[in-house]
Amino acid sequence: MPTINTELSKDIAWNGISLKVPFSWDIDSLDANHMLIGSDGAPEIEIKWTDAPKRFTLEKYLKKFISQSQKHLHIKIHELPAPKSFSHPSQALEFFFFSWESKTSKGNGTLIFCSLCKRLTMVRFFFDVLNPYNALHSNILSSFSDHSVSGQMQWQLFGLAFSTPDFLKLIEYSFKPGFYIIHLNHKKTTLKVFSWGPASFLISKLSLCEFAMERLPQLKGFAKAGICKRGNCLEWTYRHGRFKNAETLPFIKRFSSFAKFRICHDQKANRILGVMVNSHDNYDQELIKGSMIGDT
Amino acid sequence: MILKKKDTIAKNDALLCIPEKNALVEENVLDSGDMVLSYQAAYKPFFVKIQKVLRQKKSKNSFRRKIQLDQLGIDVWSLVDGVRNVKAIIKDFAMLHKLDYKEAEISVTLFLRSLGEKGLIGIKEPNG
Repeated sequence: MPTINTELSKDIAWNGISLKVPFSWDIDSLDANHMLIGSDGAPEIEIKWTDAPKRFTLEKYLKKFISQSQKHLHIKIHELPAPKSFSHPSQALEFFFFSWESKTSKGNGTLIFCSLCKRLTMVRFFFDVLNPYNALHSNILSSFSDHSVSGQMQWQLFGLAFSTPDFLKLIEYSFKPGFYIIHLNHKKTTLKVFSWGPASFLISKLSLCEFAMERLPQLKGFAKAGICKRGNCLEWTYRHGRFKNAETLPFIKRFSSFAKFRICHDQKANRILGVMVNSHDNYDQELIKGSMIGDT
Repeated sequence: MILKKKDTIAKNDALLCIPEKNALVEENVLDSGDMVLSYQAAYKPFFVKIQKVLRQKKSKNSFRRKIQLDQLGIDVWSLVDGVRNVKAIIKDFAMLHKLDYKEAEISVTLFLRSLGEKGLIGIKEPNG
């Protein structure tokens, strides 16, 4: 009988949700509150999550979430008892196990409610003929986390790995071959994380500074050279506003904002990484510090 | 096997197909390091008719079309050897440029598709 490889060597972290999966698994589709992970073109696990309203009762909330999921995913959900061997290191997470079936496939799953962040997550495993509920599923669920503990939210996908302060919320993102961008914000502060690749091709005929100016023509002034964890970096710091020379006129100075951009060539990963912070107040240095190229 | 217009194959099967270069394509490396592929392409019937209307003495049915590949294009082109399947090309390309597999998959498959549409490569099924 073939054995199931239960070794989880790949971390996936997206918008607060993090878990470990086998190395051959990868994200097939992505949304702000949804992830479909597959291997070799076949779906393996689907994760969907939502934040609870301010006032709710868990029973009603679960019922509503289940009925919405049944409707959107075109599946039927049946309750299952919890597997005896299953345990999770966090006491804040409550697990509700179920089986599901659609016209074309079936499998098992779990609803996870976190009493700390009030997030409800549905984890749906696709059917495994050999073992409908196996050790692999159990290990994946044991590695599941839906909020940060250190105040830094982890992001780990498509070769990217960085962290951001957890009060920053995801606004938009784009993952196109050769260029990734993740845009986060909190009140009037925005943080954009960029990744370009392959660096060996992109800066074969340009310097890192020329590359940055070409991609972000709004950069002003001179770049300060430095060294961060991943290699040499360049940093721009300037004020900009809606009006020309807003930063020099005191009465309209409040309409201008600070901007800081740091770009670095990560030779090991063959990528160019960038972080842009825009803020109306003075920079919160911690913002860029926690991000992937902030540590100097 | 001849595919009808609406016939499609599953993604996994498509990744196992083996691309092969068109033997009539000429390769020319420029001083800049870029590569120019030139191949014979047929005029569209509309232009052939125009040539006839204009009564050009030396009317042609085909012309030499050229496309210039950058370094990334050259890398994929050189991996097309008639032995490697699409999946192997993606893996080798990802390894060569330290790219994530998914990122390499999208860019390589789009590039191979455009080469196929121009007739620069053919695709054969793994079993022959």
